[in-house]
Amino acid sequence: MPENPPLYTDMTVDEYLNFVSELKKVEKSKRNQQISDIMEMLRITDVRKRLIRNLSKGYKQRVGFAQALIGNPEVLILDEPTVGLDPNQILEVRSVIKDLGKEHTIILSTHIMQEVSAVCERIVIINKGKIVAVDTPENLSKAISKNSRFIFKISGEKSSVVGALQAVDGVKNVEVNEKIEDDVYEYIVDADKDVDVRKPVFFAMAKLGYPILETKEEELGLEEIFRELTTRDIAVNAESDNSQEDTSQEVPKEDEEAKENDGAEEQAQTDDKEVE
Amino acid sequence: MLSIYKKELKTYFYSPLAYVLSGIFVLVFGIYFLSQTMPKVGHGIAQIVFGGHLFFASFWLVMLIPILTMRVFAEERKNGTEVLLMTSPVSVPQIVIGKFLAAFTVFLTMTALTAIFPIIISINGELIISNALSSYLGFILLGASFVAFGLFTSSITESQIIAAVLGTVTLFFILLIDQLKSFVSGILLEIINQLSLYEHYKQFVQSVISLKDIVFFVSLTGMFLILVIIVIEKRRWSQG
Repeated sequence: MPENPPLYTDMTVDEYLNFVSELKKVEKSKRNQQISDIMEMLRITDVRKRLIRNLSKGYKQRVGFAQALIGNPEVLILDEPTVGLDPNQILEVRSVIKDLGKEHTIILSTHIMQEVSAVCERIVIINKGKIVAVDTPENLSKAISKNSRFIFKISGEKSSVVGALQAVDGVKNVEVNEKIEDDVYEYIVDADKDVDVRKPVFFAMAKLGYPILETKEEELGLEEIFRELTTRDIAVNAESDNSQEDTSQEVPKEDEEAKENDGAEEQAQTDDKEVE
Repeated sequence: MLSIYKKELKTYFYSPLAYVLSGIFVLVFGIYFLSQTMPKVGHGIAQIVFGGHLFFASFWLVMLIPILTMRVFAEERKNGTEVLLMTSPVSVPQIVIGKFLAAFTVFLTMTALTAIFPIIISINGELIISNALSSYLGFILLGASFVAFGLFTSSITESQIIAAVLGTVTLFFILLIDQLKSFVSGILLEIINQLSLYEHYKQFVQSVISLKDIVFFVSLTGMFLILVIIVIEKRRWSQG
């Protein structure tokens, strides 16, 4: 489904979906059932008798979505399916995409990182026509960050806490972030990559008798990953995964994207096979 | 193919286009009919050759048919709905033929409406039925080739206006070729005679039905339809 769905604006939703199922050679006996199922799922049943021209952008988008679903395709390619929708509609469309992901392979192309983290299980980032990363969001985050970063809230005297933290093996940098209460501060601890300093920090603090109120490992958000990948020359898994089946599906898409924007692009994919 | 045909026909008759064009066509035809027959009434001329009226009407087709066909592919392309058709299991020739048949059906409806005029003649005088039928056959064949040409101009552009203007102007020039005949002679004259739409059409109006003329129009129609298919297939492969 393209960004602007191909709709015949002078037809009603019913007529349009009927025409499409005829076009896609859906059997006559199954046609009505399939159309009403799809309309139910996308919640467009109440506008079925209206001209597409008179529908709002959100409805149009969903009618276009319905069109793509007719004939029960194995692979669905969606290009920015939530553009121009209001927040409620966006949530609805995303939940539909998630549902569909259980039975179909969905290739979703978008610029919206929240959308990617909300619905996608596998991410392909494309920069200037080249695949720069293929992986799950978590792995990407780990692969990109040079440090592992932890946030502690510790109750105790500031200078001795900082001193103790810096003495822990693997810690590179300690920063006092903010004062929470009297004697309670938030500390940002950067450690070497792949070193988990939470346990040693706990024992170090225990030795001093300072209670740790909160411990958090910070993961890089998708937006940061995206910026990292598209502004620097790093590649994650790009080479090794290139030959895989799923990326080959994206090759024509990628060309088109590169042409359109000539810049950084993000593609993400929900694959039912990955879930199981 | 049938689904395309049905959908196209619906589009024609759901919009005012088909009605307006048929209305204009019948109106103009009626005015001409009146002006030609009224003076003869009461002058003892009972027999009126109907073919002449159709011959005049064919000049109007030059304007009306491109308007009828201008949206067929141009609109599809502009709205991006072409993608839907291209990605469906229906083949390009099926799409083109489906659309051609739908436009041709509208043209036939327009033509059928003019049948009231020969009926009027036959009530008030004597109609040479064979001449009327042969004229209609020629008219329909001519119309088919015009429709195919209209589809062709619509397929090469994204703008409906350009499609319509291009269609009308080109058909008009094809008409003007006949005017060149007074300047040329010999083999050139022969070529123009063979290529001229109206030379061939005139045969039908003069009650001469020959296989040669039928083949001429049918192959002309076929040629433009094949051109449309080529244009669309080409775009399918060149646009990434």
